[in-house]
Amino acid sequence: ILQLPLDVILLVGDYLSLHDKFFLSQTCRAFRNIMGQDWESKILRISPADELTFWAGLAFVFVDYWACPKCYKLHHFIPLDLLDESLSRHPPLCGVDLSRGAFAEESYRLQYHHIQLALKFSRLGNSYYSKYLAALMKKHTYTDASTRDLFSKSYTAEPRIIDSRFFLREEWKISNSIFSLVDTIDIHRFLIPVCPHLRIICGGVWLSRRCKEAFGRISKHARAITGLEDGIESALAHPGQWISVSCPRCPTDCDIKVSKGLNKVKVMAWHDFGIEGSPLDGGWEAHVESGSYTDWLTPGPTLADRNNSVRNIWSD
Amino acid sequence: MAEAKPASQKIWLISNDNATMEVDRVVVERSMLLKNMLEDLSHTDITQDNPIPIPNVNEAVLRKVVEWCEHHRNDPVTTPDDESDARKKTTDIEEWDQKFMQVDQEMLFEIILASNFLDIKPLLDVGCKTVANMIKGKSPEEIRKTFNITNDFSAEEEEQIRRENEWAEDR
Repeated sequence: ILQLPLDVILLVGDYLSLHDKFFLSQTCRAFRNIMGQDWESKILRISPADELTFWAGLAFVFVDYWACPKCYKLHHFIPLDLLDESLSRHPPLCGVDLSRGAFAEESYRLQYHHIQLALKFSRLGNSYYSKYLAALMKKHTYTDASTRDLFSKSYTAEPRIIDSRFFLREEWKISNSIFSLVDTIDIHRFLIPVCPHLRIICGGVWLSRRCKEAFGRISKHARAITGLEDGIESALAHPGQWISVSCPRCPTDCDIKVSKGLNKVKVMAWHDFGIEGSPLDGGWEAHVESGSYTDWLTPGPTLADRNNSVRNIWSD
Repeated sequence: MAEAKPASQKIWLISNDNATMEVDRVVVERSMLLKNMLEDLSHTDITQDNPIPIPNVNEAVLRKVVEWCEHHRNDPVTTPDDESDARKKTTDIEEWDQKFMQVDQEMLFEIILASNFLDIKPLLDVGCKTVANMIKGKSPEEIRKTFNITNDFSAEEEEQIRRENEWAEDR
């Protein structure tokens, strides 16, 4: 490669990101002279987004590290971090919350760094990390053990890496052993947090819709996202049939079915968290609750018609 | 005044290892160097017996370059403004070009050198993108292995690099 003239090497450099130049400058003297620079000063002069891309690029190569989107630096991964079954009890050492947000299912708080490490360790296939990777990719099941009433709920989360992308399938099963869900659907337990945009708020389908619509009327430009409420109502009207809903804001597909006896509802959701990379790539950020907690209302960017693409990739 | 160009005018090129090849003028004109040269010549100046010499480019490389120009003969000619836009860091390469660039490294660098010499900017860009893609996401050791680069750092330079990595990991 060093037989190429300097102007051509500089042209190649135009197509490289800062982190690639960082590693190229560490290969030999010639590249150090061409690409090397004072990196510490350099990152002070670039935008926060470019800096995050730089750290994410370094984390792609530094096996034991991941790029923290809040601290703007690399953190060492902690092998003990997952020996406990609950992800939620193990925020990174810097203490910041890197989960999808408070809306997400409490028993499974998937965090940004776990996804990045899972993708990296899966790519590297290094047996040293296999135990950690297995813990990250473990299927999680939670059952509401309360026997105070006739209502029961179970939740399952199943992560999977497909074509170097991180997917998650979630499943909620809600049932009432005696009464029809039509009568009990509005009690507080009927909260299904599919994604920041498709979710039941205020406890119950009817109330959730009314709340969202009321907020939608206040805000001139916003539109309430009621796909999940619509889907559940449609499933109740057509028991035994699967009703499909896709989120207009993040790569999430959802299927809903109510039993013929109208006393059980099953909701399945498939999420595509994207490839290994920077949190700014969109694959992760689209799934994260924004500070306003009204993602189901804000207009925001919408995805083109995906035709249940996330679910189809999972099924294939 | 320039003469009118016959639609299917042929041009002959000769490689540095004396292989002559007949190419449509429109294909040859993908090279800005040759295009400018042809504009200064009469269309009868270049014949099979009097081909344009292409120094520094051997037959195998010249055939590859001509193959690329043939495939892209109808592409719009890019202006310097378009080029700077297109160069905004995207390393996406269209499928045909990707397959075209699936050659050994020596040939890849030869194609880059030839396109640089002949001033075929889009081919030069495809070549540079291909090299950039071979570097992306790799550690220094992996890059060395990919391009057979010798680590010629002194102990002092190695220490500098160690400190650089330490800064990145633990700042």
